[in-house]
Amino acid sequence: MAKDIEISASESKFILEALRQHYRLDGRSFDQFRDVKITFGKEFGDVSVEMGNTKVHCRISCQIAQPYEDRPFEGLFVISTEISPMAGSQFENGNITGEDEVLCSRIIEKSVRRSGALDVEGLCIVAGSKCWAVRADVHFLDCDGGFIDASCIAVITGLMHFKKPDITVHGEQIIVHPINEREPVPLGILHIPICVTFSFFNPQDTEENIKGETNSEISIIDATLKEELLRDGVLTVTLNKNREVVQVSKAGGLPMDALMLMRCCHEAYAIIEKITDQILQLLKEDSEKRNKYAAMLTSENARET
Amino acid sequence: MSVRAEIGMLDNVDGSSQFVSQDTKIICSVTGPIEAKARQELPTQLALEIIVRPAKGVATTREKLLEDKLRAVLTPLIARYCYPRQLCQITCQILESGEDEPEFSLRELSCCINAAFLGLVDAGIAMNSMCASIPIAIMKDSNEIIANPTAEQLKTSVSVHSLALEFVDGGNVIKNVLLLDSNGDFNEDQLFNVLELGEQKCQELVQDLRKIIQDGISPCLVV
Repeated sequence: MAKDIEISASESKFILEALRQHYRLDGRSFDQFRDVKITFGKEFGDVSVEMGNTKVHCRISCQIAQPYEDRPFEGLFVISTEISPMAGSQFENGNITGEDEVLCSRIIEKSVRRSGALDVEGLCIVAGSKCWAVRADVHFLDCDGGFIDASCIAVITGLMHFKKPDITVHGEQIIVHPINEREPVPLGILHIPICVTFSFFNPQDTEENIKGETNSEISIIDATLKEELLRDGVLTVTLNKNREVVQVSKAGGLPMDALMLMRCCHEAYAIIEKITDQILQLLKEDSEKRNKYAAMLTSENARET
Repeated sequence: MSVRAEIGMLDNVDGSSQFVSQDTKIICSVTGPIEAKARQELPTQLALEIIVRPAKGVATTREKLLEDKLRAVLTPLIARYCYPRQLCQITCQILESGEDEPEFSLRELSCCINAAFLGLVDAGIAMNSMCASIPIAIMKDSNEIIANPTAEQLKTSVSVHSLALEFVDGGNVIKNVLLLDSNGDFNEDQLFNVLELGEQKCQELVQDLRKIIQDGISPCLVV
């Protein structure tokens, strides 16, 4: 019975009127994504993502498990997105049946797991009996809209940052080398999916939009919590840097035409390109920081490339 | 200061805190007093909903046990009769456990207690007294007693203890022992030594906590 947040009539009127006049409460333009701040923890696969006031933490872990019988050559990969009352008292602990929770976990699942961003075949150790089970735990710390976008960035960055312990296989016997004994190995990441969420508002009444003649719906990128509460429609597209559309999700809300979808994808591409570069750059800086003695300790000869 | 803490970083809850001690990092949120669900409501006092969430995997019996111990420590601290029929949600999210999770939970427990205390203060919930908690280990062979042991030290310990003390009068007077949870091999003398060292360390910690709260609220004070 967690109480939903209620937004007062005057505040909602103010926000909508501001949108009609092309203003947003936080001063962003309509197609501006909030700055993404990514920080890494001490261990591998420990990532915090902040977008404005939204804070998401992701922790990747792995252990050895038995693969599914029908997929003996594949490892396991699970994403857990459980929202606790920490993100706001509107969320109930252990309740994963809420509409927002289900939608969020399904989109993340579709974007990252089912798009094959993680090479699960690379997790196989002994076919049919042993494999790595990789787990991504997403912790939602603070909610100011854009949970899907932030958690997608957190999960994929976490997977790219994570390293699993090295192993040696002797027939059926496996030796797991602790990470301070042998250099751990990174996971195989095949592409980097990033979600961008568009929110739509109808400046006139709903009927006008159904007719579709003069629809002039307002579309904004990366809505804050208040904008999310007031929106009439939502679209989440997931793209990667190879210009592939990984998934499109539009569960109800305002109807929209195909051209609008195309335009949204183009706008989203510019954003995901920027975020992908940012993630890659940060990962590089982090690995250099962790590996500051590598250049000194290596016995490799300088080679011409 | 051996610990780092921050209060009031989260916006959608009434009080929040982040507590870091060595490799253990906990974030805690407190919401309350709010309307309680019918099954949680207590007719004369504040109901507490305490949630501990692990860094990796889903919450198991281990986290339930942590919640239970946390509840035992926090219940006497809060002036619960000030808020009849209300609810207070306390959520502790472990970001980094800083110990071997299947074997130990004392570092997490102590940090959760300290984080929850700071969170409650930040939420402005009426409290009777202050508390501070530290983990303690007795080492193998040397029998040395170490306060706030590292993950490595825990592995070579013979017994581990969690101690939480209740303080009044500006953190100068110890009112009560809220929790003393011991595991492993030890004798009575050693336990008294643990209490003695713990008392001293908790007293230092409670002064640190006071400082953190003071630093957190002083920008808001109008002098």
